[in-house]
Amino acid sequence: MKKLVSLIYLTMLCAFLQTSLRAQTTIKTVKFDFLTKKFSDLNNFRTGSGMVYEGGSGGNGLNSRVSGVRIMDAKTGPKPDGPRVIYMNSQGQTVNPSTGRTVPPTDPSAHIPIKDR
Amino acid sequence: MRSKNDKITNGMIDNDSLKSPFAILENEQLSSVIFVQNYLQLDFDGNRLTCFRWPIVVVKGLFYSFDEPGFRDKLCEVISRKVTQTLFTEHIVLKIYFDDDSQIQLDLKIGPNEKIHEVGTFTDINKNWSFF
Repeated sequence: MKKLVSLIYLTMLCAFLQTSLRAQTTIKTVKFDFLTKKFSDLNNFRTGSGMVYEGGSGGNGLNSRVSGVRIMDAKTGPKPDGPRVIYMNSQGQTVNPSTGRTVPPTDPSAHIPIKDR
Repeated sequence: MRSKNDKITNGMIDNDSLKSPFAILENEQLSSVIFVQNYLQLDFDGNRLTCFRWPIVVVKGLFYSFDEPGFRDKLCEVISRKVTQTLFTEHIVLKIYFDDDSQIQLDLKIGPNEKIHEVGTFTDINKNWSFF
C-alpha cells in the first residue's frame, strides 16, 4: 500500500515538474533577470503549481518596489484559469509592476495572463 | 471518531505522509492583521496567510462577517492568541482555532462567476508557498 502511495506521489511530482518547466519556457518573452537571487518551486503541488522568484528589486521597466514574481500554471477544476504572472512587493502583496503600488486581486494588473506568441 | 490532532488535507485525514501546509501555525500567535486594498493578510510571526476573501471570525460563539459591525474589532481581538489547531479541506474551508476558543474561518470555494483567481496564499517562515 505504501509503495502504491509513493508511486502516486512520484507520478504527481513528475507532472508538477513538467508543468513548471512548461511555464518556464512559455514566459521566455518576459525578462526576469533581476529576480534571480532567490528561487523556489511551489512546494505544495496539491494546491497549485508554478514558480516563485523572490528577493529582487525592480529593473527592466519594473518599479523598484517590485521584489518578487509568481508564475502560475494554467489550472483546471471548478474555475479554470490560464497561465498568469503576479508581481509582488517585499510583503508578498500583489502590486502593479509599473507603479509598484498595491492593487486589489481583481485588478487587471494583478493577474497578467501569459499568452503564447 | 476524529481526534483533535487530526488534520484534513486535500479531503483526507492527515497521517504524517500528507501534512497540511498550515500545521506549522500550531503554537504560533496571530501577530498582526494587515488590511490591504480589499483583502487581508494575517501574520503569524513570519508565517503569512493572505486572504483574498474576507474570513469569518468566531469569538465567544458568535460569528462575525465582514459586512457586520464589529468585524474588524473582533478580528484584532484575536491578535496575540495562539493557534491550537488548523483544519484544511482543499477547495472547501480553512479553519484556524485559537487558545481562547476563537476561530478564523475562510471559505475556499470559488464560484464560476467570481472574479478572483485564488482565495488565498500562504507563505511559511521556510519560504514554502501554497495557493488555494
